[in-house]
Amino acid sequence: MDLEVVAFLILSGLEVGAAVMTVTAKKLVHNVFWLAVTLITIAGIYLLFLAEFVAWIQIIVYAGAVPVLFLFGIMLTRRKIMEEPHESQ
Amino acid sequence: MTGALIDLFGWSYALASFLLWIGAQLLGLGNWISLQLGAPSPGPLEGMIGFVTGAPLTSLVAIILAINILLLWATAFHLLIVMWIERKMYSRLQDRRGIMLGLGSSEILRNTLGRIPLIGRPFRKASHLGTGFLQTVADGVKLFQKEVITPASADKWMFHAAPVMIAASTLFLFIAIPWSDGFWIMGSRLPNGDVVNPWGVLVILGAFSVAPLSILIAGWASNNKYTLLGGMRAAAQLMSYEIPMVLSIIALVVFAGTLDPFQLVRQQSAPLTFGLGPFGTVQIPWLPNWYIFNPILWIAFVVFFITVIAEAERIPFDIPEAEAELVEGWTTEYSGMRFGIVFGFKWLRAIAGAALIAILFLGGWSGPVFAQVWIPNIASPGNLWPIPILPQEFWFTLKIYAIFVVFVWIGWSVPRVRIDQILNIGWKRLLPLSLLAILLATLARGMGWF
Amino acid sequence: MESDLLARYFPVALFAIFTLLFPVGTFFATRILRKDSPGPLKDLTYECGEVPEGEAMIQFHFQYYVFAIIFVVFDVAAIFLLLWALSSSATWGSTVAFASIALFIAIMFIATNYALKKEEVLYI
Repeated sequence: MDLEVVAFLILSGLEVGAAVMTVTAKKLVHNVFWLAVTLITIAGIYLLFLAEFVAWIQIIVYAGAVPVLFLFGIMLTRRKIMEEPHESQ
Repeated sequence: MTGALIDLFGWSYALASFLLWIGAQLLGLGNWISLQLGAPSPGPLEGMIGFVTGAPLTSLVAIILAINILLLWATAFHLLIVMWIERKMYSRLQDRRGIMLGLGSSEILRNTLGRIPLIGRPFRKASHLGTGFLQTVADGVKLFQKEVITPASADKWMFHAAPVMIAASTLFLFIAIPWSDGFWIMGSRLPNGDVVNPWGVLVILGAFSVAPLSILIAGWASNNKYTLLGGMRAAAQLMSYEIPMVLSIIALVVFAGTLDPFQLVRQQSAPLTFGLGPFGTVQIPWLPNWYIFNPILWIAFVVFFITVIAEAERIPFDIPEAEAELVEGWTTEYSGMRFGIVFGFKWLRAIAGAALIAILFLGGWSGPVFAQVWIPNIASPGNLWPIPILPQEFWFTLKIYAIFVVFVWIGWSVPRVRIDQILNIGWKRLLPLSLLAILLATLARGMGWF
Repeated sequence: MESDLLARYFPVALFAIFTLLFPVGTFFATRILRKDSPGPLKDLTYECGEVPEGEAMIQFHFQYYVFAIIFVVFDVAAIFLLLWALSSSATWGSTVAFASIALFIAIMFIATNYALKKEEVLYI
């Protein structure tokens, strides 16, 4: 079994799982956490494309900045809005 | 590989083959026993012996051993020493008696244990250079056996996931920091013996970037207004100082042309060379080509130094963990080993930042090798193995500790900066300074100066 | 090149797995050494000894979000500068390359000044 295929299956499985959790988690902060996990595993998949630079830039820009942006935006609202369950998935 | 004492992959491969050889002998014994008991020959364990001594499993075990050795080296060895240095230095700076006392400072101990001929040596003199090295270990043991309290109506999953993220991103820093020409995890060896790792510094920057997210989640998940405030401020501070960090590294890259820590150290091992534009080049043979000796890069060095202090959340930038104000800031609600992890790994980030400064500006592990001692080689009998006196790991560790001493010195002499002043410095002062540094570097390099 | 990349990143992947397992391991070690016994008084959040009142999710000032947006913008710009710096040694003779990067830095400088002038008073 080719090591590359195994790595791709594991990473993409993690990514799809994290993406599903992003969309279906109940609390907003959990969504952001799973989004960060998704972005980090995407960086891993970039490594399989032999694109190392893009992979590390993905971690610096995406996993480092975008979830923080989301969290700051979430925390600008008050708790009642944060705790309401989602209506449409 | 002259000058490097430890060849990590070589040694771990040898250790792994030795351990697997022991395993193979045990399996052979089991095989022989089963043959005696009447199993058909060859015995049932024969295939497993071949598997155990084969190359793939040996390399896997070798890599696992190498990772563990590096992690132990960085955490158990350096973390303990660095925490000890900090305690001794700040207690001497602040003239605190307790921490500085030595074993011989108490009269009772001096008169009783100090009288014993050989063992009583440390107890004989009253001195300030005491030990106290095991205090950190005792702290760790204490934290291990404390109860973990989860605050009421805190977000359980995030509360326990945040220290895992902080620990993972901090330990991930040490993948890309090599400690010598042989002591590294991430890299590949070229046919001519050199080691390359094209994007090493970028990996370190990436690991520093994941920190604001995990601190924010930690502060939020504790269900405490003050930790939330501390977490938001910490995230704002860490984000504000990342841009000047990246930009000052860019100013260096204009000169160096590479992000490879091995290549950077190789470039800095040459003698000091200044280009003077139309006047030719000047070479000073007795100084190495460290980038700190290059006047154009002084602004970049100062900016990078300040951003590393801010990224490690040290005083004067430790408003997120301000001890007199927010108790422990965003870590208030953590107890037991969770607190131990986030607290202790602050020092690991300081070590990684100091290592980065050493690699980028101070020449990494390059240093004079005074002599080579030849001792018999255990692995291949009949050959001699050279041990360089003052190996590369020693020079690198020396530089890291020197930079860390400067961190402690600054930290315990300067008052704490308020959060809006921190953001002010980060955005309005350091960012234009680092842009200026890039511009200067471009101009200088473009015209052939320096 | 391909096998070289995998050979280089296999230890990295193992290292990442170890760094994720290490804190989880300490969690289990702590649980073995001391049982959790939560109680109503122990679980109160810490506010310097007083009984905490009010909700924990206070509303924050908008300026945090502004700084996060400025951070994202400058992060991406810094990545472009990094790309240029890595390949700058090949372009030293050319004036066009130098002029374009000088223009980029100048625009970034002006943009920094404008964006941060609006954040003159910091509420954070």
